[in-house]
Amino acid sequence: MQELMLPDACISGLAFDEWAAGELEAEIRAQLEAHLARCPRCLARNAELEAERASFLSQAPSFEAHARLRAQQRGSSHARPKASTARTMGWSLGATALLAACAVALMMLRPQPELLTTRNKGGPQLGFFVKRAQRVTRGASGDTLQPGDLLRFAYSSGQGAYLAILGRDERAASLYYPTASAEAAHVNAAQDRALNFSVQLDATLGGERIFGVFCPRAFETAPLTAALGTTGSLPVLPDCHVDVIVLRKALAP
Amino acid sequence: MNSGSRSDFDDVYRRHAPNAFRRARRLLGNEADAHEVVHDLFLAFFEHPEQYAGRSSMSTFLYSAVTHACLNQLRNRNNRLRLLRESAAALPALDHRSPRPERMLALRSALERMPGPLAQVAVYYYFDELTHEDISRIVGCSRRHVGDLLQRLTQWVDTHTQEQTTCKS
Repeated sequence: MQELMLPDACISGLAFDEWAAGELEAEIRAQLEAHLARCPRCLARNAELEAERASFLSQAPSFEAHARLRAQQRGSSHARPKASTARTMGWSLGATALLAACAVALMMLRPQPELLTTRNKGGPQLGFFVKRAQRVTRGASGDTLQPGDLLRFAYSSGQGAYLAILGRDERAASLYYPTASAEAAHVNAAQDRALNFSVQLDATLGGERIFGVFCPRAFETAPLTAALGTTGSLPVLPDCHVDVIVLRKALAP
Repeated sequence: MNSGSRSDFDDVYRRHAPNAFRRARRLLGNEADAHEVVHDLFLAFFEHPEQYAGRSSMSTFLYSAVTHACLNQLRNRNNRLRLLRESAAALPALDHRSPRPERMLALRSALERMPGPLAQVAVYYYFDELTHEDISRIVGCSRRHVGDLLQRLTQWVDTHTQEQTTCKS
């Protein structure tokens, strides 16, 4: 186990990748999960990697799809003046990734509401508000919340989509939205629209990841909840966009 | 895995391509080039799965393969000219592992000029921020040898930093 950790005892990139690829033994997985439960830095990194994986597979769920995507990219880059435009776009994407990495590092020091707008830039986004003792504040990925807090989710999407919201804490996976349907609910294009339900956080302490799954077509939620419960990850969702919020539940100081 | 086993290949793709793409994009700083690398890599793997034989895990194999492919990309002539233009005098910033944009640019430029083994270790150390143990698993040599390579890497960086400073003054 020692060798899977960075010198400061955090999980290394290689270990994260081997974990995601299903290459680690159960004992090591359990140790990593235990570390994740007490390390906000690794928890945030894990969610970031998970979101990146989901985003990649939503674009290219198979090798054939990847080949098509690559052909499209080559076609479009050949169609316009080659040099600076494409390169500038590449760098802006690279810079976005770097900014995201810096944002995660900063998040460890101080949760910042602005992070809501930098996560998964460009796609639909999930946000939330927290109600605690009659006070409502805007939440952000990386926040530490308390059992009993009420969460109200909001979303932003440039186009109509089918939305499901799922959570995975230390114990199990849950479907938060829609509340009374076996299929994802259709939501209209909107900016920061609050959904008409609240979730009260239970007493399970540790990390929790909230997944906002936006798809162009209706889909059943039960398979997603089941996969999230058994593997800790969502299955491949072609054409869908997944936004991830990372929370930590702790008792009031 | 047999070359005829399509479902196995698809499974390998789904489990590993996102990680390979993430590393390639970070190394190359460019999404289209990263897709190119991932595509070529998995196509080659599909056609010649035997190249994986003997590695400790598919992930370590892909770390090595992605690194080789990206270093080759970085070394081609167009990238060289572009990087030399972009990186300017950023090489002295190499003494820290924090991935600030200017350091990433400097690293890419430096990687192009480094001897092969040092460039690979530099990728794992600076870009991936891996431990000596992780690097030794990927490279397939002892931790002591990795330590030696990192020492040589530091010397190389120091030497070239001094050279650059001398040239500018």
